[in-house]
Amino acid sequence: MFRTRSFRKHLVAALAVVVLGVSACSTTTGAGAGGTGGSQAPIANEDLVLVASVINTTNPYMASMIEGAQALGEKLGVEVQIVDSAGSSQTEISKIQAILAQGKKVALMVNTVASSDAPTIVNAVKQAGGYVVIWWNKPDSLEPWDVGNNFVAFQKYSGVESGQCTGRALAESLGGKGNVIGLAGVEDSTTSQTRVAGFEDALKAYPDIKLLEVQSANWDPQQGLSVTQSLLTKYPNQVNGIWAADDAMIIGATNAAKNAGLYNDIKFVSDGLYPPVVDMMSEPNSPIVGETFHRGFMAAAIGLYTAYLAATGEIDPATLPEEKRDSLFKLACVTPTDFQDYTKWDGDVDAWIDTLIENGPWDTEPTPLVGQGPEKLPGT
Amino acid sequence: MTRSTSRRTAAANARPAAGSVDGAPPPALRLTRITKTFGPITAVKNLSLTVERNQVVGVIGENGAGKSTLLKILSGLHEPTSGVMEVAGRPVQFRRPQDAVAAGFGVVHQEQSLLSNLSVAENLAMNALSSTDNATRFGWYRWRQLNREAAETLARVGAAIDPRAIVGDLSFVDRQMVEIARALRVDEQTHATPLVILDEPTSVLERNETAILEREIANLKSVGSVIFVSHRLDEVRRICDRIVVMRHGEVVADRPTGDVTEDDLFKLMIGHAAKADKRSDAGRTVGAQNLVEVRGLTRRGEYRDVSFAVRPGRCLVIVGALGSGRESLARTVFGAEPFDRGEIRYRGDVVSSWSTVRATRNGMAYVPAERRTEGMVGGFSSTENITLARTGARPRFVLNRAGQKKLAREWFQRLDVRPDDIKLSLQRFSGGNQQKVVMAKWLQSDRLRVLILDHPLRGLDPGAAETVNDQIRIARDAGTAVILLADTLEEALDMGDDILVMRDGDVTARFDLSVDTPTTLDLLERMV
Amino acid sequence: MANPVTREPSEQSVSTGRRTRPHHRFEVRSLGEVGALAVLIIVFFAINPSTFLSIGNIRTILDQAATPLIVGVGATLVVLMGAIDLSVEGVMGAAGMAFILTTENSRGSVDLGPLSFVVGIAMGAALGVAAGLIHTRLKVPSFIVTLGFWFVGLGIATVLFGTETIPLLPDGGIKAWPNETFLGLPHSFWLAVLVIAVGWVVTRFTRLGRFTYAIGDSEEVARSNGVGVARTKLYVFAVAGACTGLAGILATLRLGAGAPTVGGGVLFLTVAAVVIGGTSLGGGRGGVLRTTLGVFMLTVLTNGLILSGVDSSIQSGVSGAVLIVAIIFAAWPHRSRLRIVK
Repeated sequence: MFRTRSFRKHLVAALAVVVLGVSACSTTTGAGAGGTGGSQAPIANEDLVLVASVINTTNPYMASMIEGAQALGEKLGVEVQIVDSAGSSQTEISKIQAILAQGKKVALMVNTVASSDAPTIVNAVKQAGGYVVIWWNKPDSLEPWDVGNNFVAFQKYSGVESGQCTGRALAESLGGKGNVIGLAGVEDSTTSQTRVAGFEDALKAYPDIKLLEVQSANWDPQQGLSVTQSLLTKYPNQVNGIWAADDAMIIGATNAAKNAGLYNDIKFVSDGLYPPVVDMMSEPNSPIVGETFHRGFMAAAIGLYTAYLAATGEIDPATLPEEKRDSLFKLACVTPTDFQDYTKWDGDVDAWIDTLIENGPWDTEPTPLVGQGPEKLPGT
Repeated sequence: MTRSTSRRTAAANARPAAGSVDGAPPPALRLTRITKTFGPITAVKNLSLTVERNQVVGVIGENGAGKSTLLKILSGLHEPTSGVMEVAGRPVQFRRPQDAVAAGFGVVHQEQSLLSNLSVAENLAMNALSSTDNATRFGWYRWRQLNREAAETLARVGAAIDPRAIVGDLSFVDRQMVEIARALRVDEQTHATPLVILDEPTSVLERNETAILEREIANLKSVGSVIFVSHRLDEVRRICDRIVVMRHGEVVADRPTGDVTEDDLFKLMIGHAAKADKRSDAGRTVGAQNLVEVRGLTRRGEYRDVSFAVRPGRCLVIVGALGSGRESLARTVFGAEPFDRGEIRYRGDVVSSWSTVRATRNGMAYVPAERRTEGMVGGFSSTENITLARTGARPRFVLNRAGQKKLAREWFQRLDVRPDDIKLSLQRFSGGNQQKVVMAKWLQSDRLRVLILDHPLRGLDPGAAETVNDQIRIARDAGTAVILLADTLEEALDMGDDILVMRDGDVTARFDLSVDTPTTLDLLERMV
Repeated sequence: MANPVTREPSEQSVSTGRRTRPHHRFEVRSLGEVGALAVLIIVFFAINPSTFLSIGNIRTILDQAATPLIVGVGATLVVLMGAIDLSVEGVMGAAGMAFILTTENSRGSVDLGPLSFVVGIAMGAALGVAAGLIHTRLKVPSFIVTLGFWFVGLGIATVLFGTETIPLLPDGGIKAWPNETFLGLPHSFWLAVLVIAVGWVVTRFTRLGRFTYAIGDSEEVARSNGVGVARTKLYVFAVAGACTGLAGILATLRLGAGAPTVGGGVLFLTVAAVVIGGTSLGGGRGGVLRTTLGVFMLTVLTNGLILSGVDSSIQSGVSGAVLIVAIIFAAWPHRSRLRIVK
């Protein structure tokens, strides 16, 4: 299997890297601090590292997050490191711990793989004296103000609102009458659960819309394809509309419909407005009748910028109102007629980052702060 | 893998035949001063040996005497370190098994060399030269032709085996016949005079099956030459024209069969004389109560209405031919197989929901015949194997390394296990020494009450067999009840206090040896 | 020392063949798997009489089974040798991306026409060869090597995917091919049938296939029987890689888009199918047709549970329980051989 000798060699090499890294850092800590005031000891840009932790690097949404983080880092003149969790909580936590151990002050934005990762990450960051903003997933009971300044904020887009928005769009496009099916994400994901709840809530206003079934397709296009395939045969010629919790699955669903020759007979709605869906929506008489617009680059940049402001002492988390520490951001509901008003942001990420730095994390169009978490499910 | 650069065959290698001027054919095989070393160990030393045409030469020796190494040299698996090998007067070098086959050597190995998941026909075709075989030419199997050719080959050795049968489903003797048939096949493929090398072919066979094999070997003489490796001295004397005795990697005797007695051979092999009068009933702890008793035990398709009882300090031998059901019976008593009717009593109580776990907990031990699959953990060291069954009184979860080693060393000495390395992984020991280690695993237990032995001497040379038998006697004398499935009737008469004879699942006779002394013929008549 | 047995040698000599069981091409032992599949089908048909056996759903099942069937043929060969191939998901991703980027796609990279299929399959085969070389030359267990190649494949796929837009196949054209029908059944299924047929012929009639069985039984014995063990292994890994590559292409065609994760979930499905079908993980026993049964059991199960309206939160639990019952059912005919279960 492994020869001990080469294993040792690697170990020595790894140790050498760590030692060199640590000593390099310690030589720079003496350099003057150039912060602009604030309650905590401010940190200079050279001693700071911006870290964006994403779930994987193959999902287009994650790719967009990376793009946003890098653009922000360039604007601020701070080094950016990307953590690829490769879909695993373990990988995520150990990579973040490794970066914390390097010695630089860390301003971190984490799109957690699972809610349960958040406490561990928050504690590790607190101990290392860094600043973290969590995106999308955390346990409801874990609130930043209970932890302290190091857990700057939790931020997300409302899943309920997303589900309600696309659910309404679907029902309206069907004239308030017809049968629909839903594709959920991973079964235990709060994002998926809240979106499904919003979707079901929206349909309550349309008594003639019948929700035939909601099945999980695990955020996966292949599964979106095969689940849709099976549901279309289960309800032959009955399905008028398909809702999906995100665009990865709607790509599979639209292909299943195309394969069955039903693409133009079914209405589709979903969340995220991914580039392929933008293309589909651009077609005349597109069956994609509703989407939500929110962008990974915006989420990552807002989160990272919030952490950066706390790290440099420009904001003092302790004095922020609660809605700025457990925040819901505005989600745009788009239709084939107005989606181009939003996709224009995709063309110039840098310009948008400029407006972010100018207006701060909570007041930047098209996605200002709109409410306080934790998010409540409709009817509770 | 052998490098393809050594694709030269023995024939291509050879110079024109020399030394046949006077018309007398050169010997089929002549080895001159062959030596083979593995690092510091010399396995074969200065070995010289001649096999004439149409002659059967027996090679005998204890486990570890160098027989296996010699065979591996002859089959092209090992290259000798030095020495000259000549086939039909031409010097040859075997770099890989294909070379040996090309020279007309067919080897029947002691350990299985058949692929048990393939059919008989495939196994026959699958040898070094299969690429030139018509039935599998260009890598394409023509099953009809393959099966037909196989049937012809099998007919040559008089075996009525279906060429389409899966080897794993065959009995031992049938597998052995397939191996021999395959060894013989070399002449069809090479047009060389075959030299068939048989490595302890009878070690896994029942007595009556051995007889068939002996007849077949005699037939082989008319076709080519035979090297017959065995440790059954009587058998070697019956079959062979000449006998070569090996000890410690050297040839210590090479004599015509008529010139030596069995005792001579034993002495030459072991280096000392066989022990006389092994039988002694004195000094035994014989219990008054039956330890194991079986009443009306029946398992459908295996055995019917069997009853017997064993007392502590006594040995019950069960004899029977293949299909007598005795193996299944022994396994049932150990809890490894279920039964349909009847009862098993242990220390007078009827056992319910009997299992191997309960049997072991009650001090019962079972040494299986298929020790490779059932009796040992091949990748474990022999220390680990010996101490595997040792639980009970000792702390269960903490392994006492030092104690284990001490125990293993002690048993290695008592059983004369070779090589004397308790850390070596068990699968690297020879078959006989593996058997000793498996025996030690059970014998070392201080809670041993009942010892069930399924062919314990299978594959052992006489020296090792004696050691094992001695240990069985020691255990018996100390008050263990022994149930023994003997390999040979001689062994049965030698070891047993009671003998149970079975035929097709029925008990056909019982002998109490303290009142009755049956002959092997008496037993045999009731077996078949 | 008399030898009384020699009195009746002639009778004994012919008796040796008496005990051998005749060899059947379709063994009784595979009836268990067939029975389990039949029971699954009957149960689901009883629950969903109008939909389950509708022509539409049969097409759906056959289409969904196609990808794992093709991967399964290669995986069976590997498992027959006693090795395992864990790299399939990564290799499918790499092959799928290599294929889509060399055919007509929305990213407009290059269009090699039919050659793009060759590129995809070659990508799979090349990864298989590389894994096979490391396995045989450096004697690294296949488990480790192929685990590594899972991520090598995924890495290649991710690099090819890059940060540009998702490559999409244009509507119509080759994208529609898997779903078009021939004799009423989808092309994707016919492709799988072709691969299975070739796989069956290889395992039954060619030296490569028979050597695969031989190696699975015992590498040492096979070697002493003149089997080129390392070479055979290398070929098998190459063939398995090519199968996986083809499956990656098919999955990409069905999805209509390039995605590094196009093989997601296929590993579990195929390994489970191989084992459920009755191919021993120890090697030497089983076959391609058995894996076909295993794939259908799993595909029918997934499809049937959705059709029966089983809530997706308890689907995995139910499918696990049903599988265990099905395996027990399938293993029943050869339970007597399983003296030791571990």
